[in-house]
Amino acid sequence: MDAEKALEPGAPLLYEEWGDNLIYHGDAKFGDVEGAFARADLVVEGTLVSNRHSPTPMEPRAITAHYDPVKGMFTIWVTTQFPHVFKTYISQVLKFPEDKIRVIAKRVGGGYGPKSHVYPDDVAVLQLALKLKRPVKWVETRTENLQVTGHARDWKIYYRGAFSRDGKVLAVSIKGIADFGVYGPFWTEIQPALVAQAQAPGPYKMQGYEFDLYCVTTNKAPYAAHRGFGRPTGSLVMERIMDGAARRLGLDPVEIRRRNLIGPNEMPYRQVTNIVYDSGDYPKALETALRSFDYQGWRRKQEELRRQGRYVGIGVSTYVEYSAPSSKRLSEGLGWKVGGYDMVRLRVEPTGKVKFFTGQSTQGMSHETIFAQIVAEELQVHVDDVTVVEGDTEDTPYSYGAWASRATVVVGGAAVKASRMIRDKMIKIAAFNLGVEPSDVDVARGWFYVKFDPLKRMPFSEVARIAYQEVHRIPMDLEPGLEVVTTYEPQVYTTASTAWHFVVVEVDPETGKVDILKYYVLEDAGISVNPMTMHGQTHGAVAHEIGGVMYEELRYDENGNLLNSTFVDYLVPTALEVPNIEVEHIETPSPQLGGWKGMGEGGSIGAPPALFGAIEDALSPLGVKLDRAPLNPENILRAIRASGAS
Amino acid sequence: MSEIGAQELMHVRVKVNGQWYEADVEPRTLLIDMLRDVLGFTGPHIGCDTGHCGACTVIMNGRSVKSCMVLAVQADGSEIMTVEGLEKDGKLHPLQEAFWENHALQCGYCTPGQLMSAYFLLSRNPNPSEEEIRKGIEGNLCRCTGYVNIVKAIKAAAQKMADAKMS
Repeated sequence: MDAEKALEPGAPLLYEEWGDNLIYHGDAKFGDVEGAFARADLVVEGTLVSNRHSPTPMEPRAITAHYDPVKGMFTIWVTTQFPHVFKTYISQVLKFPEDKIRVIAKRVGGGYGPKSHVYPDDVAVLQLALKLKRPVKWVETRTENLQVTGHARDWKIYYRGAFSRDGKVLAVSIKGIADFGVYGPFWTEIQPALVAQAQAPGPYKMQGYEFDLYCVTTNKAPYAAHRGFGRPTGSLVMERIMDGAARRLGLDPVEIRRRNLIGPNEMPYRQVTNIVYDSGDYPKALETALRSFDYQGWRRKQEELRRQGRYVGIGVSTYVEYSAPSSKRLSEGLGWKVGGYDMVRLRVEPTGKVKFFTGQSTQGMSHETIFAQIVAEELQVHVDDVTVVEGDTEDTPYSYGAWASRATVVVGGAAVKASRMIRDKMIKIAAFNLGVEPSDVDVARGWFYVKFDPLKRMPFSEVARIAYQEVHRIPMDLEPGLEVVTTYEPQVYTTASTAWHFVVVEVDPETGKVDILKYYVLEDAGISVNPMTMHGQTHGAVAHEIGGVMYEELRYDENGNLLNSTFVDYLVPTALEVPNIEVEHIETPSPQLGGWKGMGEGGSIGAPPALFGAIEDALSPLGVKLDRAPLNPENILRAIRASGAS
Repeated sequence: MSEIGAQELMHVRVKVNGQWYEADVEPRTLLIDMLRDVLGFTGPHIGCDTGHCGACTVIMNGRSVKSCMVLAVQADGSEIMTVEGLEKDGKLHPLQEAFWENHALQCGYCTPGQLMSAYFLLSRNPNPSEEEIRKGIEGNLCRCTGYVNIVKAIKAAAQKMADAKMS
């Protein structure tokens, strides 16, 4: 039940044929690590234990399957984040022809990662349906959900950071032991652990970086994708190192971070891990955040409150969230049979109404709104005239689905590309009918017009009608109709969002209870399509990890029994625990189409280190050091006792 | 030993969203299951099995209840209001409008319960403080919104309803 013990010689073996309990062991070294540690004025060392928890979407998993022997069609309604991938995978597993499978995933009640898998129980339902030739339905209970779906973040980490006297980080060394439980369902495998290791260096320049990673099998539930996908763990370690170094060097935690940031003129930046960040202005983001949050004001207030005997602390964190990975990273770099592109279909109907088809599925990310906005902007039609169709493999193009904060970047880019293809064709048709050259025509607010004589114009809907119904009014070299299918993939290695989180907490050292007094996030995810839905995702992602790092912990006894498998004892934060989260956004555009960067998972990356820092800062008069999540009263009181203060 | 059969079923009458319905259900049938599976009111959702998530919240005789914690037979003779009952004559309830305008839902799974808890709160306290709103929806879990915009929406709806009363 303990991943570290499972590595010891003579430990009982879970899969005897393996000879050990290791799913994966890998290490990598970038730059001059030994030299940096030899030259260092300060070496920060420590351990960190992060708690197994699960994102628990409010709708548990559900699947209904129906095999129609007459048509030979196998129709599956399932709560999945990737209907097309689901179809491909089960076709291989069941040896059932893929073209006879239809997967429908409309309006799924929350995803956050665990629904980008295919689970053995899904396959069992499908086999039953094929065997019985009757519809079969299975709905996961909450208990089943907590037992097997979405476990993640279960790590023990040993870290070292080399610093110069002036607070520059020279190198970082991480040994991570990740408890993966039994070997996991398709298709996450050990990727979150690799992502965690790639994530750590974040926005900081360093000469050397190394990791040593052990992914261990134990008698726990399988590891799953979980909002942030390893990034929260990687950034938590890095930010703990920064906080530790700041304390030892007597620097403000903001100042030490400021001194190590990659500069805006260094973009695109090849991080020590060889991951290339496309764009970003980390110092500008920091200075904006400091002003808006009123950092100096809060430090003064903290001093005042401390004099009154109150334990108030301020935490800060930052990270780079590399999102929407390219084919270069996925299929070439990682060897996955996965593309970094997505495919869309766009149709302007004879009435001028627009339909946009994507193979994505939505679990609440406002796809219907933002894709419609993007298409409406490009075609200059009203957003209500654009309908987004998704979540059914039968009427949408192939898609790799919703993960890695990729939908806006990749599908949004494809939407721009498809819209421009249709727009160019419509401009040609309009020019033909207006008796001018296509280069003389533009479109604005539902009208195609002649640039030098804007009163010469045709309604958008009229051009659409002609394209279908009056072929003689279409230039000879064009086909009738207005429908395109196209793919798009960002030309950058990955789009890199960033954020700064600032949080103020008050801790009761008698009970270990923590109150969040203020939570502020400055986010830069490039161009914002819709600030309201964007901020909404940040609120949710922050709340997720307020729960994850303070309340939620899946605990096992020594015999492998999960001790908390209901919401009675697995504590999801309510409206009383989550504060009002203030979000501000600045825009450093990505150099690719649309200028967007992924952001749906970012809040979950920033929250854990900010809360660690804030609670430790609140208890700093007692000399408390925190190295174990969750930061619940039990662990906080244990840390206070360990400091010898009470 | 008695057989399990029709004689074991209980006859239940409930008024849902203004209309009376009758059904024969097993004694162990939960109100949520009767609403969803027998009467077809699929607005209220099931998100847990212990009465903690609140997705199944409905109004029963003027009070909010978690319909997974009520047996259908206990509801016999009751007046029930589900989320489907909020809309009147094709017009959304001010709470629904406020949820839309303030982006108070993302996946929408918890929303029917949030709306009914908010409806109950505003029926008792038309002008709640932020703290009172947070207490009012404490029994409704949400994993998408961090509650930020739900709280905002309930505040906005209270204002909207107060303005409507004034005019």
